[in-house]
Amino acid sequence: MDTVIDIKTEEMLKVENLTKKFLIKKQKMPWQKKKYVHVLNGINFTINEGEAFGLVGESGCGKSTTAKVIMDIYSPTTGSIKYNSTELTGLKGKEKKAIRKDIQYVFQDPMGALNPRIAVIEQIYEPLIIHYGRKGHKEYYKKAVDLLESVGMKEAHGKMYPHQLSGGQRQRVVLARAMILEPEMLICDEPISALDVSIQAQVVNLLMKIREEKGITLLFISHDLSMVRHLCDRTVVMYMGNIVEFADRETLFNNPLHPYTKSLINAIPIPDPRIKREETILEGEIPSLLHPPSGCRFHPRCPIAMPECSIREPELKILPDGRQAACLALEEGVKS
Amino acid sequence: MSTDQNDELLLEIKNLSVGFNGSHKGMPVVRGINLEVRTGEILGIVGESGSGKSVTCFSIIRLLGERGWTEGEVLFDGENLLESSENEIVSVRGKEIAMIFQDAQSSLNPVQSVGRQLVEALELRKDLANNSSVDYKNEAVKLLGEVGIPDPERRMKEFPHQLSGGQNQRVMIAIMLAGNPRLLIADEPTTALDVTIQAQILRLLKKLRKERNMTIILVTHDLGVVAETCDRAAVMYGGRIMEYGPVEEVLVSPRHPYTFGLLSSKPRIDKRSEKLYTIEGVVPSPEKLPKGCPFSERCLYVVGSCRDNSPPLTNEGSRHYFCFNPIEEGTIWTQ
Amino acid sequence: MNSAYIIRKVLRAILTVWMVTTFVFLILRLSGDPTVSVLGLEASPEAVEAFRAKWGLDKPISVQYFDFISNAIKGDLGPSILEGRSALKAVLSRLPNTLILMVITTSLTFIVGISLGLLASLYHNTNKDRFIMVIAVAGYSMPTFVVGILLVLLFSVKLGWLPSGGSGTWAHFILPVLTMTLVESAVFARFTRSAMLEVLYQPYIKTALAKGLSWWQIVRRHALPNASIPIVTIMGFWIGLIIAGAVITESIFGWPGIGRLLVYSVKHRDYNVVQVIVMFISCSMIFTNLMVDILYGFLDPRVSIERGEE
Repeated sequence: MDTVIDIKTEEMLKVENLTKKFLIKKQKMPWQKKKYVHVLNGINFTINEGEAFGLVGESGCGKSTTAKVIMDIYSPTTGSIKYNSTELTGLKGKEKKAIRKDIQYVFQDPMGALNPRIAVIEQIYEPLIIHYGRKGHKEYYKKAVDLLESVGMKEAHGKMYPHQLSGGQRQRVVLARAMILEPEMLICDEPISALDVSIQAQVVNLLMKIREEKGITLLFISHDLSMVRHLCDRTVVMYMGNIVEFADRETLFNNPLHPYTKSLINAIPIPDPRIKREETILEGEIPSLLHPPSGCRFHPRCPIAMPECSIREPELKILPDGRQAACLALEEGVKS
Repeated sequence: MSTDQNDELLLEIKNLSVGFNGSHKGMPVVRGINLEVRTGEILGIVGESGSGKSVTCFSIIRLLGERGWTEGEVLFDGENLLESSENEIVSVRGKEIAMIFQDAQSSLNPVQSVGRQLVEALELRKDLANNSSVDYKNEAVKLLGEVGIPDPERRMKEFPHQLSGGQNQRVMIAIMLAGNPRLLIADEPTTALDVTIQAQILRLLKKLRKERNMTIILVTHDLGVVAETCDRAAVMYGGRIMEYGPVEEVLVSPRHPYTFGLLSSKPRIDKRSEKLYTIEGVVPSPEKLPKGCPFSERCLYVVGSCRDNSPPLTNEGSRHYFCFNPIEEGTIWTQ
Repeated sequence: MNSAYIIRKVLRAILTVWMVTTFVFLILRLSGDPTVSVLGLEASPEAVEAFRAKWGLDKPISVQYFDFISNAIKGDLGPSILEGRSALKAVLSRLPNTLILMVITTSLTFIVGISLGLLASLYHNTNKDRFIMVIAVAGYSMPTFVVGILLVLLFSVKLGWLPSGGSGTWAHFILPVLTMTLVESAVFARFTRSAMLEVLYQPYIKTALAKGLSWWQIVRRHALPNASIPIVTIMGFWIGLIIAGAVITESIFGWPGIGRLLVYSVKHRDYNVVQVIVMFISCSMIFTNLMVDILYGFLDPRVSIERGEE
């Protein structure tokens, strides 16, 4: 399956057939069976150099697991992750360290990502020490201060400890630390979910500024579709471990085709009481990953489900307008 | 604040201040607010963390207990709930005013079945207790059905950890409906839920208002939720109300720079945005609030008097705001 | 509870008892034998030889161990070398003395400790709370033997009101019971208080308030049952400890129970008696654990659901 929409640009990160299962029940007695939960079922996408790439979905859709597999926090069950044509899975030692330097991460909880007992400036330049040794200590400090200023903070903040900063300031510090190695790619897993609305905008604007100035490639994982629309050039929508739709910003948000994407976008409240949309509230809840529905995993909640949907699992297909979607109803459309 | 004549007042908050004993040197986190709730409406209280929106709601039915202090009046049926006796407030809770919370799962007793917790609430009803033919279990199943729990009889025997977040919130709503209250306070009821489930819960709240003529106070940080659910909205910041009025006015043409900032700093799902408006700075803690308008330090429209004087109330039809330099009608955020 | 769960529990219990007895068996034999303490230092080599042959002490340890295990499976735990009768009988004759002391102390400790803890938690941050906690800290920072000796000094030596040791009349019970209750109920008061406070600050207590329950209804129906889950856990653990604690109290007050017998038997290398007592202690710990498990099923129905799902 070809996953590239725009072949003009350089591929940077290519994820192929990624699957991940977790052991949820050990074998305690010889007659018992091990039990697994399948969190990712064959994920394919390619992130191009310089783009902002979004990964959205509700809880349990696998977006964070995908990110964690790319970040090497989990190892994939099967599948490959290529970064500039180097296979990342199974990479060890020096090679791993060298490549990992180019990919940096920002998580949801900045307090957990920072050491509470070390002044933030030291934490910002710590990656330099890890990768280049202690030699250029003075330069490191200067570079860290520059970065701290570029994320909108002052040199004085550097001497503070994480608990003395607000949530938004901590997330800025984490961003500065991620940028100090001059990475080519930044992975942000729900970076603003824990922040207040007024602070979210500050961090998002900062992310956009960094992208503009450094041309960095961004993988942005979020449950907040409005923010993804605002930030990302192309977006993958996931549901229960599968990609259901994948398209560029205008195509996806102006004209979503997959019934899940449609209802998801429709469920997001608009802060303008004059706008009345048709009410397409999805019924039911996301089924348990332990007992996934047969066929298309979305069919029990799907407003346009056909009898076939409970039997056959749809594949991610490229539609005439260039988008990808996994839906039997849309496949029918392609044929006719 | 003046009211429109035809609407019947259900709850009136007068000059309410609330603080915690011990933390922040007893500084108030809610500072002299006035608010009216009318029968049958859904009133949204909007604000970020630390705005005092949840604390206001907790103090209405005195859930802060000995951890907090209150001043002012909360009038319900003409009676000041802040001064009523312990027995009186217990008889108001659940039967007149009920409340649901953000994290439904931890708000339910983990070791009691859903049915048991629901029946317990029903048993507090005096009208049912006098009726010997009443079957509490049956009533509980009916309530679970009303809040949209599929297969309610089976769910009765289950425990909170076996249900999803959305279902637990439905159970919470059912428990609070058991006493047939006139006012339901919903404190961020959908914040922890996925958007498709949030839409279901909000639809349920609207249904309850319509079918039971229930009055609802909906606390949220999401202006979208307010726009789609509420009739009127009060925007809070730093323990004060900034702006207050019909949703069509407050959200369409906000007068207060804070409301304006909140609206423009969040991207919208139906529009393309280039750059987000930012409210600079951080939310100040209660002891660091400026003397005048709590928002003055972060406000782009700040004028001389803002920092030292509390802005007076301005009434403009059915809408009210506290600001020296309000935003002109029709202003929109452009990059 | 299903069969796999019960089988696992029983297998684990048997394994525990076996490991503990084996350990004691080896340690005792590696650290000397009873010959000297029974026959004295001046015994002739022939007498020693005959004594060792009589009790099978001349055989290699592996053979002795095999004999012990095969007899134990048949139900014969061997004779007491010092008393001549069966070791089991020697222990059983002392057991009632220990049990009666323990039942009285345990019930008193639970009643006094838990009620003080509850009182403190319900009057959290008031003078009542502080007063109880000051006493509790004092009680629990003193070791049992210090309290015991202090009480003996005061009530027996100075005032002469109570006997300092022995058994027989009700007056003999007072000092040992008082010693253990004073120290142990302080532990329980503190634990109960913190367990209750933790529950009282849970969000579901707020829910219970919001639905219109009175404070006492909440304490009775939600706070107490939920706080009792950790309290029961510590009770089970503690009953095991107090059996071990009986060794000290019985020694101080010369109480003729198995605690004192254990000390005496270890000193004189009465192998089989020590083994029987150790087995008894580990069995009673396993038994209390099982009781706690069953109680859990009542207090926290989620536990039985999880077990049932296997």
